[in-house]
Parts: sequence; C-alpha cells; structure tokens
Amino acid sequence: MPEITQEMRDEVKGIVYNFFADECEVDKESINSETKVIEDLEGDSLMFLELLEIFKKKYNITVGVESIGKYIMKHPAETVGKIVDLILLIIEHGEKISEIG
Amino acid sequence: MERSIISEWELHGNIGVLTINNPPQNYLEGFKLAHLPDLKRWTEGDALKGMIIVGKGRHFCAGFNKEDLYKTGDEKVLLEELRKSNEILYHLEALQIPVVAAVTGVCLGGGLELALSWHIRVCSDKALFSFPETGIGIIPGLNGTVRLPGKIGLCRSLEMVLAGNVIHADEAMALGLVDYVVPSKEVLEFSLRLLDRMTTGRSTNIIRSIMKSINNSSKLSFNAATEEETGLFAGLVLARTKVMPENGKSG
Repeated sequence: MPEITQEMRDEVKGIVYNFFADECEVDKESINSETKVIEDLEGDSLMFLELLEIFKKKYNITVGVESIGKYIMKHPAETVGKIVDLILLIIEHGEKISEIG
Repeated sequence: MERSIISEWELHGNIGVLTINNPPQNYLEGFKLAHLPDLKRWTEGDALKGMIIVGKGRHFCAGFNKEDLYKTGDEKVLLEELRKSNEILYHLEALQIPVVAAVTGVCLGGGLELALSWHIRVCSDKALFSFPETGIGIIPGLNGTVRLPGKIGLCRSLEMVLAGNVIHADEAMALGLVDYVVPSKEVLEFSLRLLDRMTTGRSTNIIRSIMKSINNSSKLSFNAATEEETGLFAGLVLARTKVMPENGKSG
C-alpha cells in the first residue's frame, strides 16, 4: 500500500485540474475543489473513466471499475476536490477501495 | 440535416456523416442507432462515395443504457430488438462504400460493436475501448465476440471481454483494433480527408467493385471470391473498352 505524500497529492491535483481544464475547455484558474463536474464544467460521468485510466497507467494501479463503483455508491464524487480525493484513495487502496466504509 | 432515433445525417460533398446524437454518453436508444428504412434511404444512390460515423460531443458511444437493457423483460421482444439492431449493422457493413467509425472519448460495449462492424476505425489519441458487459453479468450481444477475434486474435479477445479491460488508443492500435490514431480534435477532419483521398477521381462503379471484392474476401471461399473478382475485373475492362476502344486494343 503506497504512502500518499504531499508531492503525490500535488501531482494528482495538477493532473486532475489540467484534465478538466483541457477536456472541458475552461481556464484552469476557474477550477477549484468545489467546482461541480457536471453542473459547472458541463462534463459527464464517463470522464472519470478517462481520468482513472491516466492514473492506472501512471501509478501502475490494478483496480476494477466494479470495486470503485461500490465505493462511489456510498460516496458520490461530484466535485473536482472529491475526485482528487477519490483518485488518492484508489492509489492508496487499489482493489480494496470497495472495503472502505 | 435529417434525424432518425439518435442519428443525424448530413452530406459533406460525396461523403455522408452520421452523428450519434444522444449526449453526453451517446447511449443507443432501445438498442438502435436509427430506423433501417431511414438508413437505407440515406445511403442509397450513386452520389455517395463514403460514410463516417461519429459521436456528438466528447464520446463516440457508451453502448446500451443498462436501464433500457433490463426494462424489456420479455425474451421475444428482446430478441426482436437485437435482431433489428443487427440488421442495421449488417446493412452498414455490406454497403459498397467505405464506412469509417471516427471514435473520440469512450467507446464501450454496444458502441464498440458498432465500430467493429464497419470497415475502418479512426480514433483519437485519448480514446478508450472496453466491453464492460461481464461486470454486470452479461456478454456482448451485437456480434462483439464474433467480430473481435478477427481483429485482435482469440487470446486478446478473451482477455478483453472476460476481464472487461479498458484498452487505450495506443494499445488498440498495436492490437489491430483500430487503423489510425490521430489527435483528439482532428478525428472527423482526418476521416474526411482519408475518404477523400480514397475516393476522389474514382467512379462509383470502381468503389463498389473494390468494396464488393474486399467484402467477399471474408464472406466467401477463396475460390468463390476469386471468381467474383475476375468477373468484376472483366466487367470493368469491357466497360472501358466500349468507352475507349483505342485503350481496349492496346491492352
């Protein structure tokens, strides 16, 4: 289980913010942790799948969409900040994310 | 621009562009892309030399909507719906013009089955492909397991469908799942240029003969396909001999 460092947090946040700025064609400065992906950025649920694949490749993570789905059912991630937190949890726990209460 | 179910149709010169317009996920509605009679009408006639299918917005198509899938309930109705969907795929696959799937964003399940049934697949460098059906206890239902091995081989097909792996554009290219990978914003333009390069200066007769012969290579035995090609070749030679007798004599 990798330890999440501040450097990692900053890197994940940077990648997530850049992704949404690029894909939703908005200024990165206009995004903050409270920005809602669907309402504010006109994004969609499939964008998380795209983001997840970026991080799976980058951190060599093995995790099934079903495991993440189980966690998201209990903890919806609607804002950019919550998505950053979710990615960090996935990096930290991998497949075991579904066991988090 | 004309519309049928979730499809919109417009012409760019001799190239038809069908847009799957059900954003953001571009789910198939009731398993279908368009009404078959509308598709037949759009794709008939000698003027059309190629066709591109693209998704509206960020994604190509996320396949079936899970809610649609389970609400049918009745086996006969479900089988009939799937039969109609297959008829659409067969119609587009059998068209005697090149059909390009121009894939951006996510291409999942039924969306990937659509893309597999057409002749050429162009995708963006960020495109993702997957058959997620096993994750919800079903299997691909629009020829996905039948067409996939012909593109990426038996072993990788088993892995992709059973594990529900997500395949990136670069891996899709290496596997032979797609034919071209281009930057995200250039997918439609590249596809138009590709078809333009293939068909400009080529008569409808030539395009149809080539499409027919190439389609025969996977549908008929080698001997039958060769016989058909010989017939097509002879027909074109004789047609040119009649138009240009001097060329005919000089061979």
